[in-house]
Amino acid sequence: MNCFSLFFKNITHNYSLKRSAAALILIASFICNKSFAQSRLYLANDDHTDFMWTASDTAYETAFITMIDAWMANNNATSGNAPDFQTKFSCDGTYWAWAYQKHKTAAEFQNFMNQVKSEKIVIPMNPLIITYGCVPAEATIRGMYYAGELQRKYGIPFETAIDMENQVMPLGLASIWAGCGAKYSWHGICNCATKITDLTNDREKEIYWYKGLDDQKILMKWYNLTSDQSVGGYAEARNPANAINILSNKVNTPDYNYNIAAAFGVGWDDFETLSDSLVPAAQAASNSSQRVIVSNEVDFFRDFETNYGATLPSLTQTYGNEWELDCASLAQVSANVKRSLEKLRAAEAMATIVARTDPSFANTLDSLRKVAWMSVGIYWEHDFGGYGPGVTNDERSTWERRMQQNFSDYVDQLYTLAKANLANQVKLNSVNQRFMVFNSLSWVRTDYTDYPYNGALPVHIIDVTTNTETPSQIVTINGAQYLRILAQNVPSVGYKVFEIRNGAGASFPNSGTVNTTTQTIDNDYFSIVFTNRGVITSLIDKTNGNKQLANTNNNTEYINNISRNNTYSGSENTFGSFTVTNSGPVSISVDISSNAFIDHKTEITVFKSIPRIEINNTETENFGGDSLCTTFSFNTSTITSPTIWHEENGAIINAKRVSHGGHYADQQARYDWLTLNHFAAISSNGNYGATLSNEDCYFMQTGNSTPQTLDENTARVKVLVGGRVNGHGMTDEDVLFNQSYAISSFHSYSAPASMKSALEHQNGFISTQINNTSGILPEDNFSFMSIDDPNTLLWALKPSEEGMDLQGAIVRVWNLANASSATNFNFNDDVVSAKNVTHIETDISDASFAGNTVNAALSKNQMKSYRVQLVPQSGELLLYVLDFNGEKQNLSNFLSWKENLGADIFYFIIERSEDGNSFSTIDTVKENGNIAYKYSDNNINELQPYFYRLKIITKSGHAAYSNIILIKAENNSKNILVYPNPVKNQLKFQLIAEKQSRYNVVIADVSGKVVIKVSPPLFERGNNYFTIDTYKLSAGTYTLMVSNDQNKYVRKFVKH
Amino acid sequence: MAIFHSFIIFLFSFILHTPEKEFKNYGAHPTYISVTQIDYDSKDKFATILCKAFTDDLVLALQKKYFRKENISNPVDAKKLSSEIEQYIALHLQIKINGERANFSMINYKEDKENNSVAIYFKSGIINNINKIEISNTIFYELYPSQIEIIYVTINGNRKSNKLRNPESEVSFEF
Repeated sequence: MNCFSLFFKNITHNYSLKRSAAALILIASFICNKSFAQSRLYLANDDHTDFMWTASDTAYETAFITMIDAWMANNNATSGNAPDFQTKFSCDGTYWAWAYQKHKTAAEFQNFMNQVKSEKIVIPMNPLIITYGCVPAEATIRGMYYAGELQRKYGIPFETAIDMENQVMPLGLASIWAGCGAKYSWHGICNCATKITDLTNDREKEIYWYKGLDDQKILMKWYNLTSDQSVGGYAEARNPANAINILSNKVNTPDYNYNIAAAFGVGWDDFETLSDSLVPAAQAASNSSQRVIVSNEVDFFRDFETNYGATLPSLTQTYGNEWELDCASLAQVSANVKRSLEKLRAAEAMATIVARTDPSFANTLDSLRKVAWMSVGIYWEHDFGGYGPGVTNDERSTWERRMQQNFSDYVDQLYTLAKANLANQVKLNSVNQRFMVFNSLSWVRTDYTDYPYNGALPVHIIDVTTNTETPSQIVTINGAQYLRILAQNVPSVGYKVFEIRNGAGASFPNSGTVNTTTQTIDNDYFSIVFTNRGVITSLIDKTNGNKQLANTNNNTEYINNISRNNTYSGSENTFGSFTVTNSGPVSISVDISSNAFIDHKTEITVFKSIPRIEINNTETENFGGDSLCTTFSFNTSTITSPTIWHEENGAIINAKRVSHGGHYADQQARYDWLTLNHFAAISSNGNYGATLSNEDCYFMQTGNSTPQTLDENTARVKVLVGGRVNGHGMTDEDVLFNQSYAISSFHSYSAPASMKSALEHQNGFISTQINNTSGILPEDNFSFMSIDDPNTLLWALKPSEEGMDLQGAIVRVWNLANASSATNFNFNDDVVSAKNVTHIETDISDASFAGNTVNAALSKNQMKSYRVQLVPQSGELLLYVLDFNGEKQNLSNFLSWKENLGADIFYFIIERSEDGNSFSTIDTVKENGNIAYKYSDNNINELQPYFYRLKIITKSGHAAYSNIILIKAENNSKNILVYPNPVKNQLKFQLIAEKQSRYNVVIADVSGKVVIKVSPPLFERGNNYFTIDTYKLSAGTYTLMVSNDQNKYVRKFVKH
Repeated sequence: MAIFHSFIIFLFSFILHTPEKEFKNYGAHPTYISVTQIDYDSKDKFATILCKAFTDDLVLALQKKYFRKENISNPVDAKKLSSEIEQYIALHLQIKINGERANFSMINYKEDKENNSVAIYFKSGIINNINKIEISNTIFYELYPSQIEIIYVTINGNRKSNKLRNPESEVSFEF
């Protein structure tokens, strides 16, 4: 094609017809001055998985298998074509492979993996299409763990990751994806269900390095929007001829000065995409001036990177949240995911320590763990709030509840098992009751802990390490009695042991006072005035020159102001009352009960030696179609030029637009609800301010921001507790909502300090009794690891997926400083191997180590993962019992163990527990001269998980404990999901039935008396939904029993 | 009072289950869908039907059948419109309970402007029990070849659902 014809083409085919004649002349002269090669246009097939949009979850699983089979056949059928014209296919997420692996044979799966390995089929690293803006960083990573497993097992490169259709994308995902090993991504949008008004304008850049704050980057293609079914949309190549036309006009223009372009995606909202339309289109349009290539996406990116990567510009910005917001419509379930994710941190840290000497630790949870990672990964699937034509709101909400439960079940079981085993490893060296206090965070800290205690009073508490008394008080929480103690200087990723002694002990001053007339709480740090509906109308910061933190200028706001929608009210005391509770030397609380706007309770607590205020809100009413918010409005005199830093997915960002020095895109972004993760820090231009720690919620509004405008000048955040702020989303049926916040102040803002403060609030110490006199860990204190650099925080410490004994521990850290860090991780034992690994645990390179230290180098703001193996430890242990295992066999729990040779054992006591804490004796087995022992526990409820341990009594009268094992409940117990719990008027359950059958459905009270019996419904094979009116039941705990002649499901629930 | 209570819940649950047609690609590629919800509780001795349709679809269907175009929110002849709606639905939605043809009469209809939809309410005569329900549904089948009918039936708390795609018109449920 000559210059003239190109010029002509530009005039005749310019689809937008936006450019002026003058511009065209410029383009023509520009092109004519440049001699360039044949352009390369890449077109790629995909389905775009609108999961649970046009059909149910099970129908989609089947569709994935059908499509994979169809595309393997298509690819084989076209393998004789020239490489450009062979079909290729891109799955949209690893869940496709998950479904294929679940339903196909190992050989069939291997066959599929061979196609993936040859890149005829490409799978991105993400599990499905996820609304990533609101997802916590660690959940994003765990959701990609299945990719890591396939990568290591089958040698799959996983170079792409995608976020699709939703109009926005977070900033930090670039860092997370790159940290997981991805290199490329593309994005296309829908321009539907949106409040962003400028999506049809040209984008800032169409292809760029999508770069995180740590300078890690992803090559990103995000073209200007033509329409959702064309270039820039999420099905760019749906009409291939049209796409080729647009691309051939796009290449080698001043706005897109590249010779290579691509249009990806065909499937749009279709349920299945089975046949190819790209090969004939590519064949027809390929000529001497352009090569049209049927692509697998990565071929385009590699080509583009080779030619333009070195000079490509970058973008570092977020676009806010859009469809993310739908997860707030199922508020308590979403909050449960977040709580479990935080609980996982401690569970895995404890598990790592336990697994050092017990390599088989928690191996019965392996299958649950894999399901948990996938479930947490797909919880925020992008049709969360959608009401697709093939799915009901109830079905979607039930599915979300199942995903949450899959994840939480694993975390809860790991936590309980790890806690019990860790306590069992700590040596008890006293006749008095002792307990360990475990700190899951990577710095020495002082905080409170609540230890369940029912013994005689008064008592006092001794810190066994220092042999000094520490302040303690008795507190009552939900009717149960606890010892609340101030645990001082608990080692990093380690514990300290405390002892309970009889008698009152020393007298410590009270931690604070409450003036019930002025409604003022005072302690060493703060002076707080509260109202009868839980609003803090004055917050004086005593350690910072008595500065007022609350906004007192406007009597409609203040701090912790609960409201429906945008309704604020004053500080009236009419609608509520308060009591002072749990006053003592460690803490003092005020419990407020109010029915203003919504029935709720607010508990405000301040502490001795802990510089934060904890605020716990509990709402006991469903808020229907409203949104429920809690406003934190700070003082404009002390925070004169507000700056709000907050944690988005994988990055701590500044809630200002890029042109104002922040991180929010100046265009094509949505600004009304920003991500709120562990914290938001509100400061006066980086100087004085406060950290708001948030344990449960996902979003906040800064000042008076709207979808189109970001308010950067108001020191106020309105936390979204829940609701349908986009006008769609789930029907939320829950009647109990909890949120825990903490406020602390600072002289000057620092991301690590704010994060530490939030993590301390959200990762309370774990205290549990120790009683093993043969424990192998020190009787007073212990630290598994520490990090030299105070700005680099441990983010996850876990046994590697392949097991602690085989592949060591994974250590993930986050350097929260805006400067690089060269630091050391110090372990309690010698390191034998250290690797740099991706976040999904695939080795990259050797890491440097010496003695018990790993040397780490992190970029500014970088999260990084390591694999560390310590010197084997098991040989040093005095163990009476080896290979203690258990499994479910029919209706019994079958235990087996071997006695260690040379041990002087008299008999074994078999102990069982339902909660992992309190064990009771179920039987005794005499030592009989054999090595191997077996025991069958026949008295079990097959739906109940049980913990077992052996108490070994030696001939000399000495007692010791084995490790603790868990035998899971029957798998089919998962077939029932009961919600909401607690319930008010209507209890629902979803039952997956194996065949059509009539079931008995009854509800019994605590005494076992049947209080509701319905005429037995006929349930179909598969999903069944059932509703029972419960408004007549009085408040209390009940049992739902659903049974037929083969299965019986029993679930407890609470009526409010 | 019991009737009032359950009716409110009924209404409320439906508002929250509105198909959000505008959610995606309504302009570019509309989804042709209507929802029919049948509820029965043996305590009440009657069944209710709620039909939810998109306003523009209903207007078009009535126009084709009765040769006049009415404005749903502000009708010229409200009485006539009401009887036309009842007739149209009765013709396209037929229900057998325990093998017998069941009679339903329209209570009222309500427009939801925000969601471009109309909810139409029916109530049955006395029904002592429901073991089997057979439904024939062809609402808007004459208009759209890709019309989908979503059907929910809840009998004594046991909810079953199914989907009909034009030209499928019959479905039955046993309880």
